[in-house]
Amino acid sequence: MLSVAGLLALMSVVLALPASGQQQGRVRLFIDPGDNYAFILDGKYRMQERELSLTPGRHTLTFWAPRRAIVDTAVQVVADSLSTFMLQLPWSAGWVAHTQELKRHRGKRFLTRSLPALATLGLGIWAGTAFVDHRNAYNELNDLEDSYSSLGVPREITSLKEERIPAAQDELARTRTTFLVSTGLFVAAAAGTWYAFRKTAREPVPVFEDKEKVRFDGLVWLPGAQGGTWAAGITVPIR
Amino acid sequence: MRTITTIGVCLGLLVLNGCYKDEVDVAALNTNPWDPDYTGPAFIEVVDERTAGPFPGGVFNQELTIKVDLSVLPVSSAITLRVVDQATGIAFDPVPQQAPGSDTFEFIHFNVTPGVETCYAIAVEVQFSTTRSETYCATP
Repeated sequence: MLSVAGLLALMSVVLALPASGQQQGRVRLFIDPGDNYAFILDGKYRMQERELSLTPGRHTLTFWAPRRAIVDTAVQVVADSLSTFMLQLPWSAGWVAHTQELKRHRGKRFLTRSLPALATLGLGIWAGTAFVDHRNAYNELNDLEDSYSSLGVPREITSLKEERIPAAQDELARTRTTFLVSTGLFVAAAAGTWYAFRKTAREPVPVFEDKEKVRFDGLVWLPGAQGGTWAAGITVPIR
Repeated sequence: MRTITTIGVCLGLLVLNGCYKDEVDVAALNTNPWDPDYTGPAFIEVVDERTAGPFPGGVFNQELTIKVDLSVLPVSSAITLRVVDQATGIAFDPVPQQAPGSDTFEFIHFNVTPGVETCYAIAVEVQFSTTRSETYCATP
């Protein structure tokens, strides 16, 4: 009874035989993306080469790259010749959906954070301006009170007491109300902003699960120096 | 939770501290002698009262020498006296200072009836407005 290791070793020898003893043709691959794609040759060999030496005839190629869709295609290899194969792998549907979901997530988080923050900023400016107005009104009233003792014209004193000081007091009361209202709104907006940041920080960010990779990582043949081995891929998303 | 409470209390104190609640009590502003509502001691005083006459036609004049305490008036500018007959409400011609900077004014009421008392409201006038008036009654 053959062991599993012995069976795999026997299969590697058998599968490696067709690649030897024939005139071969070369195929140079230009794949987009050019850095990290992989392909399966003839449904058996998983490879990442940029140039292939193959026996003449038709060969099937199954390309894949992270975030890209799997593309099945075929090349016709002519003996003693160099041919060029170009392919742009399309974005996978899962990746497109993920990017849209991520965009929605970021947009929602941006709105949830930026609107209260902008409101806080605006109300903070308003509160600051209101405070300055209130302080100016207070100073104006004090100046008027101080001017009483230095005035030397009865008519001006009457005007000061009956018109200017009451008007300044009304202005002081108005600016005080504005200051209190604006400060209250500012505090409320600041609290809302703090809550929005805290809430959005806890919301999970969408994670991309490359289902095309799961499909691609099926049982394939990995050629090696001693003929090759069978390999099985498994994807474990780490969050 | 304690941090939030502390921040809230600090903000509240900041807001309350930022409010200027001082207000001016207008009724308490009565210390300036130029103020018509001045409540301090009188600074207009009649120091002499005379009856002159009879002049041709049996006319008598009432003459008052009035002094104003310029030391209590914070501004030294050209002033006149405004004298009003309290019975009729008629104002006499403004009474000028005897000399620039002088505190003495000479008021003459022409053609008075001897034995009939007349009460005057006397006030200092500056730029067409007057101080608190002092009442003085005299009988020629």
